[in-house]
Amino acid sequence: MSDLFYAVIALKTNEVPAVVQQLDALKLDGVAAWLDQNHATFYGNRNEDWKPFNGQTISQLVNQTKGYQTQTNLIDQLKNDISNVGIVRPIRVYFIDVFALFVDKYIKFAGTVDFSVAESGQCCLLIPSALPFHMQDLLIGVYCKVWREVCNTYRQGNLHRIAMRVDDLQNFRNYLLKLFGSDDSPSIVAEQELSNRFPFQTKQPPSFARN
Amino acid sequence: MTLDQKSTSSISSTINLDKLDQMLGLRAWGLILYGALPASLSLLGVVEVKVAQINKVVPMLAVSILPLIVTFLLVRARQKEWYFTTDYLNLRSTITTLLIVITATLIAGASGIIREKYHFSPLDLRNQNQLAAYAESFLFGMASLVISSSIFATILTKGADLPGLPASGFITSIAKMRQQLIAIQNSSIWQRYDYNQDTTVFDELKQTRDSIIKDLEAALSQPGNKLAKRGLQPLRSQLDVFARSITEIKEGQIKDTIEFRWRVRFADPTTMADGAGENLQHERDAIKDEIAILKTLKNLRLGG
Repeated sequence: MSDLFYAVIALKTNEVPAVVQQLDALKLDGVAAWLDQNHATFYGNRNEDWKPFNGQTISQLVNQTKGYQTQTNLIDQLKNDISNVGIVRPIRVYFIDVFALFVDKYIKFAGTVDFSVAESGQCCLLIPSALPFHMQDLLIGVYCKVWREVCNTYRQGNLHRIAMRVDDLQNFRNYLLKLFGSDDSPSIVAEQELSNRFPFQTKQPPSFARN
Repeated sequence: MTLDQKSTSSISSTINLDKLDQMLGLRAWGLILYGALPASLSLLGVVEVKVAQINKVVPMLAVSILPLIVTFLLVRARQKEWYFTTDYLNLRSTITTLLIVITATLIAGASGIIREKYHFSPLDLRNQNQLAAYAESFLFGMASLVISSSIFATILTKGADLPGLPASGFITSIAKMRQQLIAIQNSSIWQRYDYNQDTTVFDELKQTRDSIIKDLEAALSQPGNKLAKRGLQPLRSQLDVFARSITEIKEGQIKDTIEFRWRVRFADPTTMADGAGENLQHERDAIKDEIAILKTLKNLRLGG
């Protein structure tokens, strides 16, 4: 089974001020203040730098065994008008930062791929558990506006997830692997390397049974 | 002293010793002895140099320059083979040549004292006899370089394992490694990559790297040559990083991802489009150590 291709859609440090402004404008003052105070703990210069739980990146949380392969660079390569959206076709699993829902590019992106991701992809929305409950509800409301079909099909039983703690994320990760792949199997490239290095076939073990 | 301090001081001493080896040619100290050896013939007294007038400096230099240049060139050729890179090649060749000349001069002077042609006296540069003795010793030393050059040009090129010089097996291994690493440096991967055309480039580079590792292990398994083997240690980790980069790119599996990962690691950032530049720069920053090592590997001076 080949690796599950995943991508991270997260805020970057340079996008934080604009999102804080937007949150203020939407009268989500408490959320804005929380993000303004805590963003340094979570964000960096790249999507991959996002550390949603325990100071660990998605890559660190997801790649504890083989089975997943990041394709986040495809999200980075998306144009602002999403005209090259076709490049994300191989991505199977999206890990979405709730605050990335306020970035124009990602809103447009969600609008374009929402239906196909809802049907044939898997989305995992990550919300920091440190946020008060009412703020979490507000943000989930925004998620269901931006990723409308994903949210609908989630309610109907499709395989999407809202994760608030590291265990939720691990459960989602492992569940997908059980469903679509095997976490102990080597990746395609690793398999090629192994067969190049050990081209011989394994022989049947000798039988000691007497006739 | 903490463990960190110990490892730091150990690393710095490695760097210093390796650099000193490259600058002074320490691993081939025997070359000075073999170069100065013919000067011992002055003990026989069969051939003598007689300086009639000490003020004829220009003819003396003219006579000396040819054996000096030939010796330097031969020393340089040997030093080039004995070291993996050509860093400090001219410096260590010059130092070795000068040490050979000084040693040969001292041996010629000492022979003159033994044969009672000269005798010890306090240094007095106004004393014409003393200056003549120095000049004669120097000229005999230079003349002996003619024989030294023959030794360098014949015996030392035959792969003889002589004391004080790197072993022939070691030299053979590093010559193979050098040749293959030059092939990696000349690969198109450093300039361009096309997913549809360059389908086998990563596999070929990986094979070349694996082959270098085999030769490296062969070089490191040679007995002795501790100093020379120390100098090769960083290469192992550099080649591991290179292999990891290649694997990482290949594992991208998708055309866009493979090309992106190649651009991050190998492409010239100054030629990138403005839009893509920022993302790529952040990616490059995230793996800056890896990129620095790749750059070092690319810029190793191998004389190719």
